[in-house]
Amino acid sequence: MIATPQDLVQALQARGFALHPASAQAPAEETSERPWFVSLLLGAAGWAAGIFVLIFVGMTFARGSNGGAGILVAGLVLLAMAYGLFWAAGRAGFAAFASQAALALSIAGQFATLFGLAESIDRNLSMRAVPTLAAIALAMQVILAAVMPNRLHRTMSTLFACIAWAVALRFSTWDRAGVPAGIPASAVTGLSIWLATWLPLAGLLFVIVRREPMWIARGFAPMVRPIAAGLVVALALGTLASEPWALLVGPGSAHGGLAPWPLLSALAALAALIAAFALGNLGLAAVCIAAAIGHVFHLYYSLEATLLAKAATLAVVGAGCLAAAWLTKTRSAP
Amino acid sequence: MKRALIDRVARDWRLDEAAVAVALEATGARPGRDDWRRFLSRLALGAGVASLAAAAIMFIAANWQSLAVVGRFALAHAAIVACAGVAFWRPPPHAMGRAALALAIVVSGALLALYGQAYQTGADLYELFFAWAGLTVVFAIAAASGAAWAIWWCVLNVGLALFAGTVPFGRGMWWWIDRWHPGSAEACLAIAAIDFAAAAGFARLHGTSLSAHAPRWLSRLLLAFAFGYGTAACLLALGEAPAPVVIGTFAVLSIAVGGLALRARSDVFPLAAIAGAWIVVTTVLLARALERGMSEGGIFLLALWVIGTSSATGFALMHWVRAWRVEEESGEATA
Repeated sequence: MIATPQDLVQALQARGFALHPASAQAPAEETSERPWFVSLLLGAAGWAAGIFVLIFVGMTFARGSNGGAGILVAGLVLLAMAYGLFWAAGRAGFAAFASQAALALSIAGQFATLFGLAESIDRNLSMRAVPTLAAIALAMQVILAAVMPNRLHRTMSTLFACIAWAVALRFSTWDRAGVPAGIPASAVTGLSIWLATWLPLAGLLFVIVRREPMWIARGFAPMVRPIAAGLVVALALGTLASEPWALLVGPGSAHGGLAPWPLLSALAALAALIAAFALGNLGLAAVCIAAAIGHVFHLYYSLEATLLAKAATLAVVGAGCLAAAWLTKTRSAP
Repeated sequence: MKRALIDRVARDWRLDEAAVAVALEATGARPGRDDWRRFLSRLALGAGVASLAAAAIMFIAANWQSLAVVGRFALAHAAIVACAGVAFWRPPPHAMGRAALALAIVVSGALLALYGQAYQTGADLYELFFAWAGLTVVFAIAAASGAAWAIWWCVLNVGLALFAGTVPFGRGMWWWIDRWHPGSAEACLAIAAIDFAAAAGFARLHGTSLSAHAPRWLSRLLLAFAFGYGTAACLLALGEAPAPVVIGTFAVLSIAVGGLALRARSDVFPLAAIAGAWIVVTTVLLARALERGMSEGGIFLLALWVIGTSSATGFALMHWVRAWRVEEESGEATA
């Protein structure tokens, strides 16, 4: 098996591919793989710092009387500063401080921009404004995922774009008089909206996985790979945004018929797991497995059935899985 | 080969789509038919074992009255015997044997719970978990797998956490601990020390004949537990009398872990865990120091502190990642 870039170049030349070295070499950081736990640490720290910056901006603006418009302007300025810092950090290879500062500024800027817009749309911040705000957040995150020259930022923006998309669809279609917020008018309506929300995203991820050689060859890997990671995390965890509120806060006993919802999330997490494996990202695969276990746990917690019935169901499912494992192993044996 | 390296070769040598497709296939970066089958087989095996384990726990929790106590015991024992039978039929390192022994660890806990449920032993919960860990250590040893050890260490950690939270220090068999008047912070620190020792022990097994027991992710999991408990110990101690001792001990443990990681030059995870833990501890310390006069300036200082420390961490970690990867690649090339 080929293990080093030098061996790969030689192997391609041996197979008759004419290789031409590129004239300019990009900085190392954009292509060198950052371990998942370093990304997690930097992302969490960026979020914490972003919230501190946001509080700082909020406290500063609370003294003035500009209100929403002032915060909106401050948010846009913070986003512009974040872009500038990311761009400069990218030119310098890996300017750690600049990247982290840019991430913090961007997170604060996103919150401030959304808050400023929310204030100008609806000063009381009622639930009626949620679909509009989610649509604005979606547009903002899509632009940021495309524009911000930073892998971690692109992944986070993609994840939040997917969540904003789910929230926008859900709150613009599920509401009806007399039904608690976030509960679909009927199971068919809810399921249709769920599929309309997540199937296009799963389809997009499928296309990305299938067309990997194309986008690598065209030099889009620095943009598409983190976006794919964001889509995987969104399918694994973001589907919670499409579940009825009743399920997120407790068992579904109060709202009959809602209990099987986490099963949809578990299926989405499995689809994400397959994509993560196809993209060779074992860290993301672990996230998908943990998410799938969580969704299945949630499903059994929500089911209105006796513990005995749940135990029997799990035993049958477990035996089926073991049989499937045995069959696939037997068939793959030489 | 990692995708990032293929991306770099594609960019540096301006590969076309056909060449990239060949590169992905030749380097084994894209899973082939056999890889998919192996992946699905492992996934089904893991899901099956987890489902059966959950079924056993739910069955015990159901406390089914239609089945006599003897019948319930017989079922639980039969499950353990079946696991042992599968393990003898397909002994480790076969995946079925390992999975059966991992399942046996979980079912043993269900059996102990059934025992407590049936006879109302009055035992504390931490005693159940300690007994569970003690009785199943043989299954973990026999399984020789990271998954079985991970389950076993989770059981022990839950037991230790329950012990730390509920143990009647100074009474009964625990009289000897009371001379140090331990609180929650010291208890958390003690658990962290146990996990540190376990992580170091499993790390020592790499490259030996026992390396099947100790995949790298297991050491990472134990380190994550250790730093989680250590960080919690420091935060619990803040403002209390034992703070200098607890924070100082955690610092010494962190330095020792960092020293070992820098000497081994193979995995940056321990260094990332140290950094994460100390960013949290120092940020909370700073926030407490600023607490009385918290203003825009104080908040801005906190933001700068988090950005500065995480930037330095990111810079240092990526430096080590690159340097150690180059050493590893040159080592492989030499071999």
